Amino acid sequence: MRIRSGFVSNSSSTSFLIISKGAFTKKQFQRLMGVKKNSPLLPLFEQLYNDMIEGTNVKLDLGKIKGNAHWKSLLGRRADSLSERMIEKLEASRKKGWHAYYGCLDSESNPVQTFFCTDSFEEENDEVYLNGLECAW
Amino acid sequence: MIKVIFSSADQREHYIVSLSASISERTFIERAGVLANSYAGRLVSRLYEDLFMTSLDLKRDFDKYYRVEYAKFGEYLRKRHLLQRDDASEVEQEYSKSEAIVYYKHAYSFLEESVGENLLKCLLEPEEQQ
Repeated sequence: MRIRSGFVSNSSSTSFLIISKGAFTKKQFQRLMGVKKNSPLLPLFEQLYNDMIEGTNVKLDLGKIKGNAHWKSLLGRRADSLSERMIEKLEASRKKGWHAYYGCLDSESNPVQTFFCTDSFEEENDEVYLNGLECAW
Repeated sequence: MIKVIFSSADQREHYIVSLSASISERTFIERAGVLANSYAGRLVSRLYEDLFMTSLDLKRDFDKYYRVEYAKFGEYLRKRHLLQRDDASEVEQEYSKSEAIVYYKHAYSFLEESVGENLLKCLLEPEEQQ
């Protein structure tokens, strides 16, 4: 029997939304997060990029969506975590014909995802928007 | 020296870091290869703050408060911080050549395992990595 002191928490997941100019690439992600190519943190962010690609549930070419967009049905599973802020960004990006990636990270999968599941962030530059604000414990 | 200590109290790995000279936040960010005004830059700043502002400097703590209570630094590590004998002995050897000996207890999950140790080495001891 192992006795553990301190607190024990439940697992958590974080929904994310990425909106990118063209297909979302590793290079775009590194520029967005401010990681230089010689950075010792690069493997950490490469892991996060791969985890987000793997954790993407829905990919949309926003330029191809006609008429009124019903975002919650378009994004399917976990669409309840879609915030007003995310919908606002999706609407604004339709005119530009950008791509959207909607998915989630899981705190139980690896130490990198565990960290980013417990962090909350929203980053934007002229080619990518990333929303990782919707954390659900 | 960067030493991984396994704590039986919370079943987690902690780090003890001895530094021969202090490191400025600017140098730390430069070594990290991140842009200061970015997510990665803010993450590295948080790490710097955790290491150098929030964590206990064992050497300073001993010199300032516990020297009267414990005859040796190793004894302070054993009795005050419950370090294993071998760990305490190894850290004690760093005392005379260190400006600070930091006890970094609440490491981010991405610093667990050997990946985190290597990352800390790049940020804290880059000359030894070359």
